[in-house]
Amino acid sequence: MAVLVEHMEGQRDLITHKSIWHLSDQSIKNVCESSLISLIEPQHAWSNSIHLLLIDDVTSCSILVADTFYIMFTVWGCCFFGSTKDPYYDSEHYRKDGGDGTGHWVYEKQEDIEEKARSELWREELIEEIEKKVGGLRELEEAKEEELVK
Amino acid sequence: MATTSLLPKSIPPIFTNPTSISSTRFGTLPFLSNPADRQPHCPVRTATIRANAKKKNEWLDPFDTGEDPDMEYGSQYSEGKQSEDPRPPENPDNPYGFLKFPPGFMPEVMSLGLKIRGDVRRCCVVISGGVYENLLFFPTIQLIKDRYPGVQVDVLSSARGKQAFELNKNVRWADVFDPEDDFPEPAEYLDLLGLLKNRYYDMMLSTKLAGLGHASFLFMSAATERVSYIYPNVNSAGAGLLLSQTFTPDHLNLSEAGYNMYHQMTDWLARPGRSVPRQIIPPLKVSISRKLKDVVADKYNKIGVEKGKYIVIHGIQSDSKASMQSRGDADSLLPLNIWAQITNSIRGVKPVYVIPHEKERENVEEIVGDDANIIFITTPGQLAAFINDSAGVISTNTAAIQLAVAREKPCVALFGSEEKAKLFLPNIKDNKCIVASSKTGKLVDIDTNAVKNAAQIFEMPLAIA
Repeated sequence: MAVLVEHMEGQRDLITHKSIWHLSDQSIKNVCESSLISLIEPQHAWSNSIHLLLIDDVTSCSILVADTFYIMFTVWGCCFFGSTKDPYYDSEHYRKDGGDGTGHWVYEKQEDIEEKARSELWREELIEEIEKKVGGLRELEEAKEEELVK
Repeated sequence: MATTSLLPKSIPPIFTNPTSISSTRFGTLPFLSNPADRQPHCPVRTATIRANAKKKNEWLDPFDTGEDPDMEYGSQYSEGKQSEDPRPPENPDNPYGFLKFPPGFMPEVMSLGLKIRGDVRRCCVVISGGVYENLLFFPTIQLIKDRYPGVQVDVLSSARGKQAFELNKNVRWADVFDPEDDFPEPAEYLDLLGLLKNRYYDMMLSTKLAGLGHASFLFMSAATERVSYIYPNVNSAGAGLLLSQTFTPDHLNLSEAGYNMYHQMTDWLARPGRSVPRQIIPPLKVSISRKLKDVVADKYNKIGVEKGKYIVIHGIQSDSKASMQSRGDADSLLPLNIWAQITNSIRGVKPVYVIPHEKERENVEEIVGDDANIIFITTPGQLAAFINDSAGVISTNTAAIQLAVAREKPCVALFGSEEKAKLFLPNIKDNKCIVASSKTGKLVDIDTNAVKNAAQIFEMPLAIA
């Protein structure tokens, strides 16, 4: 019927063929019954079939959505309830107070290890000092006892 | 001096937020310029610093007119040192359960000590330099601990310097941050800043000479008190605005002042407060953990020496970074042939060469002989443990000499000149440490015979036994 050619620089031409079909009443009825794509008279025939189509579509859609939610819930449930019994997540290692604002939350940090070593060192020194003091006191006592004996 | 009468009324040291911006701004005026500037080796600089430090920086707080003369303080939170543990004893009988304060305790006024008395609960120290500089900062950390009981001291230092804190029991966290790095990685820099802000420090101390850049780093850490050395020249411009206390060093290189390289900072930290006497600056002490001792014992047992029957030779000429020299004494390493001369005459004890890098091993074997005892040690912790188990130390001006003095081991210290020796070993009283210094000012020209004679101190006790 008609051919439109749109010409654009540097691209292929866009060619549109336009055609019109002239159908008799009978053939229109046949088309409506078989395919459902019809935009012309008679009114009652196609509205009925459109109705059918809508119902069908909604059902299939809702089934799809339900399926998706079911799958998502199942996956989430497996992850969530599966993890509730994990001894790692219940352990002090994961649940202890932590974090210093740098994203180091779970991991053992070098600084913490060193800090522990240093506080250990501090305790060792303290014990040594106490031992020295106790030793000194003992010596004093012994000296006193010796004096008393004399 | 006529200027002191113009200064505002002197205020107690806790409240002084004096500054150095004055010295940078009015540095050209004759009456304020310090005579010590022209005599770089003048040791009595502190008095003048203190006089200058009394001046208040009006830029820091324009509405701060000094202390109110009519103000009266009670004894609580205003006098004496802070208490070691400010936490009240828990009260299990409390009907409220979660409220564990004893009756009469008011948490609202707990922080008054921070304001009135100048408490420091968390302190961060930024130390520039290597192992030697960090080691010499130990007395200052002890001083902070003594002055502010219960304080938690954290350290930021270079990767090399951080290793020294294996020997310090007073430090909580030591993080790597090189203040000498002019272009730090922006991400790391911001990360560290966030970390510091998160720790809520009461005081930041820094031994890097601060310009505007380092001062703003300290400022951004949001610590209450920001204390730093500043450049003794124009580079310090603007730093005083961001710092609450500044020290102007005698030289551009702090380490040149030797053992007392941080004397301005320690003077300030030891200052008397309200019914707190001036603190005594403690001597350098290092503590060695049992684990470290075991590791090092394994190491020297493998090369076939026994505890107490060897002497440590430290200070071999090498381009290694682990040679542990001071930044203030570049000429502090001896070439191996001189070391060989020294150690050849030693009898009774085995000399063990400490090499800072594996590549030195074959040099030592070549020059000293294949039967030389060699141990590879790079960290100050292992060196300290090694020295601790030895009969004595012969060393040039490296960290080994300070460690030997700290552990009270007999040592022979080789210095390039008498002055250097006096700077780096100022408080040698007993004859456990013998200083041998070169006459010409170069370490290479040292008289090996004098060193050999000095080294006989290691043989004496064995001869008696």
